[in-house]
Amino acid sequence: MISISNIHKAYKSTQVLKGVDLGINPGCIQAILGANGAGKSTLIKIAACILEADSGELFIDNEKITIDSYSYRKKMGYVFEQPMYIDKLTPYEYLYFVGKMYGIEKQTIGSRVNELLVFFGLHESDCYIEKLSKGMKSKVSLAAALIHNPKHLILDEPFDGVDFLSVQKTTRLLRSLAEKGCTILITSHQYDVIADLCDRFALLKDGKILFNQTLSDLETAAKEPNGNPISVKQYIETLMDDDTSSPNELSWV
Amino acid sequence: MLLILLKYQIRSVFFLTLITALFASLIESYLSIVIAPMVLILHPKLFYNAYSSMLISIIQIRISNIKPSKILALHNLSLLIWFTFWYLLGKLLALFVLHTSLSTELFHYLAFTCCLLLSFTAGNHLSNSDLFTYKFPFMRLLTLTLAFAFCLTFLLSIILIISAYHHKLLTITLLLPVFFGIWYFGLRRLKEITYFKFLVRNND
Repeated sequence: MISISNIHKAYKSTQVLKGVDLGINPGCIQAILGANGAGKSTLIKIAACILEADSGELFIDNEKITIDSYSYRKKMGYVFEQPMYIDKLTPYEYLYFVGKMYGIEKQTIGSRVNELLVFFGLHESDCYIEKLSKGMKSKVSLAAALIHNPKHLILDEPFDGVDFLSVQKTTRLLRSLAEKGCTILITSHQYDVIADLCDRFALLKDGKILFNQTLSDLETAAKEPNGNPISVKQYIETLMDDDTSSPNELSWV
Repeated sequence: MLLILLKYQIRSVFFLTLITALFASLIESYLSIVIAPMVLILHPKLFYNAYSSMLISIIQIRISNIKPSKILALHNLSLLIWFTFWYLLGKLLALFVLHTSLSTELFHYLAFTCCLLLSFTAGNHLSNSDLFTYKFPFMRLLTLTLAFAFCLTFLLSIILIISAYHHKLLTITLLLPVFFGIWYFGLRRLKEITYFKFLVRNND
């Protein structure tokens, strides 16, 4: 279980998170939605313990996580918005290296790496990661997050640039991981993808969680102010963008 | 892991950095004076800014459950292997071309290895010191450079004194395990990356 409690974070004078509370149960796929700059990536970084919150607490499997915590890391898998890979290595070499970093035994790593490469369609990529396309690089990051069979996954825009077929394949994999008890926290701008995937949807706005509901709850709530039903996507868009001062057209178009 | 690191270094810009040891080794044999360790002072980034010069980002080290001491040990070993390879290649050329004496070259080699081990020790210590949290980049660079250069210059001075001594080969052979021990136990003491704590608190 991942539990985020009363998290506050400010960058200089800008308060990005203003008391965020979020609890993700085992087997749950939790989506974090929000406009650009809403603080999704900040929240992900705090949950990954690579950024310290100004106040608030993070618990993973009931263990309070601080900067000095170490043992929990083996249970976590991450994909960050800024992908981490080693440019001058092939996907095989990189995944092998990451596997070793997580302490996986030698005989297990080889088979896992090969399986991951085939799964993500990277098995024919013998070139260095720097020469791969953006989507392929995202796949390498995803594969690296999965190699040690983590108990919890934190994914920030994991499908960036990934083709539709691979996205579908990956969402099926994430679903089966969740069924086996994996906790998944995910942010994505591709609503259609996460709508099919996630169990719960939290909307981050003005530094706070506006709601955290299941899809069926959202379908019930998705109504116009006059009571007419609308799609969940439209409902979320309306809640995300209530800035009436922002124009919808350009003067020269 | 070590093999992957070695491959990475030969594929990247490190290759050019490491190959300087070959020329330093040749010049050292030609002048018959211990000067090759000066090359190490010229490439401080390889030692005391290890996390940024390593193939793997500090964040990846942080999120995986590898111990910083292990990754630094691998980084140090890969540098040791490449530097030694180029250095010994230079010495081999010197033996055939300049017809230098084997005992002198052996002394030079052991002195170079001692300096390498001290560079690793100093670099690992500096990489995890509060010096990295200095607010002003210029002051940070200056203090790090001075501290690193002082350590190496100090050892070089000792080696130069030893080289005038009759039992120089025996002395340097005895010094080598001492430096190895200092490097090894220094690494074992390293539990967490101090510099990373600074980043975590100031990352914006």
